[in-house]
Amino acid sequence: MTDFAPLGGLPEPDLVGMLRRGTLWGMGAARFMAYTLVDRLRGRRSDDQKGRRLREMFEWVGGTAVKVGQQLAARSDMLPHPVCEQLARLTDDVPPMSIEEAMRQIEEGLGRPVAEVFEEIDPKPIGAASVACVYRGRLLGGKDVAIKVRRPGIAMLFSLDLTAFNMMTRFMEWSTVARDGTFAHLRDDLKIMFGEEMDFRLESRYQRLFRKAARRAGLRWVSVPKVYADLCSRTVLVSELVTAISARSLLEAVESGDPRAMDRFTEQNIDPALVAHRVMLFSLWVRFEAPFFHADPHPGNVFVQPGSRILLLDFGACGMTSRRTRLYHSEVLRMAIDGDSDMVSRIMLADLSPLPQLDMDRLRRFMAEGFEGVIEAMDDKDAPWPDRMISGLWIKVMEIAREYNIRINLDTVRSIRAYLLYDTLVFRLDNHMSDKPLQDFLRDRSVRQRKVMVRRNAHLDSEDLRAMERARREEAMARVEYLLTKATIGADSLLLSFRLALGNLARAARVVARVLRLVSVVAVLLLALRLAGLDLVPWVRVVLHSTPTLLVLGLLILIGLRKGLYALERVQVGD
Amino acid sequence: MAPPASNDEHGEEGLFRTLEKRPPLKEPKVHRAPTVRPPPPPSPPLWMVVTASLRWGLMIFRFMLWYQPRRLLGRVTTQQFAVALRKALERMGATGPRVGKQLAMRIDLMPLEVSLQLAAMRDPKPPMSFEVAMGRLREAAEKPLEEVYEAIDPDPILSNTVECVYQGYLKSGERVAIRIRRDGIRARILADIRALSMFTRINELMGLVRPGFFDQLRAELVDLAHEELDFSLQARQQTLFRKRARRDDLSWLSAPDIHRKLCSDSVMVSEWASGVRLSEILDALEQKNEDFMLRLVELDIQPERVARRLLQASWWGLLENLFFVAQPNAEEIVVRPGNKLVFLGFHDCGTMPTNQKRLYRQILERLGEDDASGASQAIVQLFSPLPFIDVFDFGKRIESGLWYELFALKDSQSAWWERTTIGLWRRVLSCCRHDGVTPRLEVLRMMRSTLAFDTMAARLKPDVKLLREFDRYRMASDRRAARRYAEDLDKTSLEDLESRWIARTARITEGMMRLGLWVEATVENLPVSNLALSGKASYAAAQVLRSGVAIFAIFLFVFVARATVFFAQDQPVPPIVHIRAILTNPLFGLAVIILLSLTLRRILFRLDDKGDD
Repeated sequence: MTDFAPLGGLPEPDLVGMLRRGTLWGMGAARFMAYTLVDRLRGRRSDDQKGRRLREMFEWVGGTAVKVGQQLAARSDMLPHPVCEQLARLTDDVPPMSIEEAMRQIEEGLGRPVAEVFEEIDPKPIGAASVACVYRGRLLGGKDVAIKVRRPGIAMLFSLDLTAFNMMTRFMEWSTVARDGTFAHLRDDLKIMFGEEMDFRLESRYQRLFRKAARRAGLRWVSVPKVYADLCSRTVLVSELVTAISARSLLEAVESGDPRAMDRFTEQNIDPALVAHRVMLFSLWVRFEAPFFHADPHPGNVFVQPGSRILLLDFGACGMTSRRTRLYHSEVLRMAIDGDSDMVSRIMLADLSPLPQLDMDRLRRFMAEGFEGVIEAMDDKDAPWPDRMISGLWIKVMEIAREYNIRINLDTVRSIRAYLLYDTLVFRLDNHMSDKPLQDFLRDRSVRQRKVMVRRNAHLDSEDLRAMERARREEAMARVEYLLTKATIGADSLLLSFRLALGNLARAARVVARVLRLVSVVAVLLLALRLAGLDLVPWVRVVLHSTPTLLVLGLLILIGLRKGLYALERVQVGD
Repeated sequence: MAPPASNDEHGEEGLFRTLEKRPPLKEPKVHRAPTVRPPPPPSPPLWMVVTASLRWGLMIFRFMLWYQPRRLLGRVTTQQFAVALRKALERMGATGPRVGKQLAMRIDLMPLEVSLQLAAMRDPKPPMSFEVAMGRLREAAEKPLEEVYEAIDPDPILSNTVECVYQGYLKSGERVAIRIRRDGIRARILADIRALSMFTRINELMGLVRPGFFDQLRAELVDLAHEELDFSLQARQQTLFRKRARRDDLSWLSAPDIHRKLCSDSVMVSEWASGVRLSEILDALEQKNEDFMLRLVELDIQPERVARRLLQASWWGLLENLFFVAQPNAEEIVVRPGNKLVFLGFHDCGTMPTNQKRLYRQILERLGEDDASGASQAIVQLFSPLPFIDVFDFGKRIESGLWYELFALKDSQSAWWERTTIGLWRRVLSCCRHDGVTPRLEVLRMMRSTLAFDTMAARLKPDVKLLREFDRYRMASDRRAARRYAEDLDKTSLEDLESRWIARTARITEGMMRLGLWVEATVENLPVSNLALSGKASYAAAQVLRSGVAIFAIFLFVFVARATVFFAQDQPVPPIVHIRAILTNPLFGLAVIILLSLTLRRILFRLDDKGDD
């Protein structure tokens, strides 16, 4: 029987582990609260301090909690910027797992002995993180490969920590520390993200598809290592081993201006300005054309190869941008270049929708003002580079979203983070980046679009095309006619308009109020007469005790009730 | 018109005389009233319903006895559950497998494993008596069998609880397949359905499930008795399918021809479809049967092409034909030399409304263009009318699932089932479950049909590229549409074309005029924004509260004043005395009543406002 289980997903948490991790998380949270209380008493109430305490909490709980914290660092739509900065400092430096364990994992993933596939595997890992370790090896054919091995039991640990985190946030919502539903989407997002990261088959799929897409788009200077799909499994990812220089060391060399290092780069034909140009071009392609993007392109995941080629690694987390969002974003850029901050804010709002109930007018004005500043800074050649980044627009959006409590979905958050990382890399490499990459990108894009059209119609001859065009026109006409018929029918039925009517509830209330008014008028009369010295109460008592009066009264009450009921039962437009 | 009276022999000359009459017909022929299709089923006798209830009750009891303890101990996998359920239903015969197949359609309610198991239901039974069968055949042919048939094999090639299938030759030498329904099976199935609906109703009554939970199933079961047991309906669909495929030049797709004159509603005589059954090809492929594969090569059958054609046939049925096969079965598809497909089973067909066709096409087109959000919007439309849910959220959830499935469809290394719509529909349906959206039955049928076709195609050709195949289909269907249009143009004379255009222009003009009227009428009352007023109910409540506060304030003031006065006069009095005195004071009462009636008036004014509630 075929296993129809979808890729990704975390194992069900076991009870004992849940208790263990849950206690740890609870203690961590208590510790955090105690420290913040102390801070508050000592008058240290800055966001920075709060972020520091939060970071300490995640470090204290340890394990995959650090990963949770790192993911929170990207949520600048929910947390203040200083807190995010503090959380971003969380590092998951974990000692590598033993080689025996790694071998066991590899064999389990491959389903056969290591010796049947690999000629050799270097026991010293070339990378170690909390989720996986990377080893270098050689295939039987003699090809050098990088083997990414998932740590055993890590998926369960993630599952436990996630459950603990969920329980904690649920408790916060329940005890009204936070508003109900504040963390609901964060919980869903984290579950998706960790599930994705745990399954290396997904990573290998993204890597393959990304490689294909980049090649198809003609970005010859971008490379993504080839994946050996038949050797990949849920826990093992085998890909081609490539040698490259980390963008981090290039950045260090550029920023320190070390002439020796620069000479070495020149020898390898690496030009920082060209690299910056290419990263920019690539990031534009990712933003406006590619259906999905590398969600974590920090300098540790971006590499440079001789000839100023760019190499991307680690496709564990990828985000998707819908066609609509891509369109909106390119429109935003066009409007920003035109300097139309009002249009920018309108498009951004459309992208953010659905919005909660807010004062839209004020929000739009506020946004337009914010964008105005960003756009001006982008235009200013002398402004410091962080102000000149295109992603400044989106960072502004995040700020506004946090202030107005607008929810941003995971993919948007991820894409904004990715933009920011690309832009930072570009400007750090080349402080004087102009808009040349943008012009180049626009030109390349139209070439690509033309190519797609040509390819799509390549196997049709002109006769076919003409016949199809005719048929399409005919269908369009038929559809217009159909729509028109429908519209006229609708118009006919809508020509009648309705009298404004009272709502049923109000009508019923009105009946009751009228009866009450009658009673009060009678009471006023009685009281006034009594004040005038004429006590009518005994009379009234006599009258009230007579059967005919009671009968009339009963009848009146009955009629009143019926009227109220009719009012309630009346069929109402829109009921 | 009677001819004018001529010479009359009977009457005399004069005003009153006998005129010529047309002689009346000797025996007016009595026509039977045309039968309504499908004919209303006869009601089963009571004893059958009672026995059926007992049988079903016993079966459910036995199944629960097997299942519940294992479930409580957590010792039963979905697979085991599915197999046990299938076996239990198979034991019931006739209705059981059919109910199972209907349940298999509900992929929104059960895991896919269960659905696949239930769809693979079988119900063999020893054949019926040959004499009875031939009796039925004679009745249908309305003449002695010797005049029609050259030979009939008394040994049936297939025999299940509902029907037996024989093979034979007509006088013309044509080989035919003869399906004969068993006697009394219809009454039995109807009795079973009665019993089942009773059980489901009891379930609803006892509150085990929410009322109306089984409504759809009950309706479906009754339909099933109508459709599946009525051969004339199937015959009609089969003929239509054949005709339409030929009209659209699908030379590789067909259904056996039917000899309508020899059929009745319990007998169906159709052309013999010779070739290889698709199920045999699938088995051979999966068991790597070399001999069989060689035979296929001899017959000029390539599994890859068969796979592609299956997909094309599936989309053709869904998007172009009048109806589609809702639960295609590899047993009921025959592959002829040259990869020609012949569909045999038309007992379970579905139809697609036009907008659903457009939406389905839209979904696949959008996916082909890497636009998961567009596809998710089309899917949300597919489920309308929706209950009151957060539609945006629902769409987003579907979208994020679609991205995965899109990549799985595009990845050249994914498993065979990831290249089918299995993953896609499963994601979508899990979103539906999450939000409490119940898909309509037509939609489920569509999903089930595509899923079954895709699965067969992917099993035949594990590296099938669904979206690329759809692109191919789209081209072919565009071409077909273009050709139909061109043919139509060729056939129509210029005058006709002109008048068609004039008529259309007139219609459009009139439509525009009427629309214009409507627009004018609408624009008449320009939308005016209103000042925000508080709602009527809250206004009333606020007023009541306010007057309460005022009354209390007056009371307090008088109380304090009185107490001070008494205190100043050195006459300390317990407060209760003050309170009683104030409350019974007519002046205070008057003030209260005036205040109250003023409030009432104010509330009434606001309540009388028209418009907002």
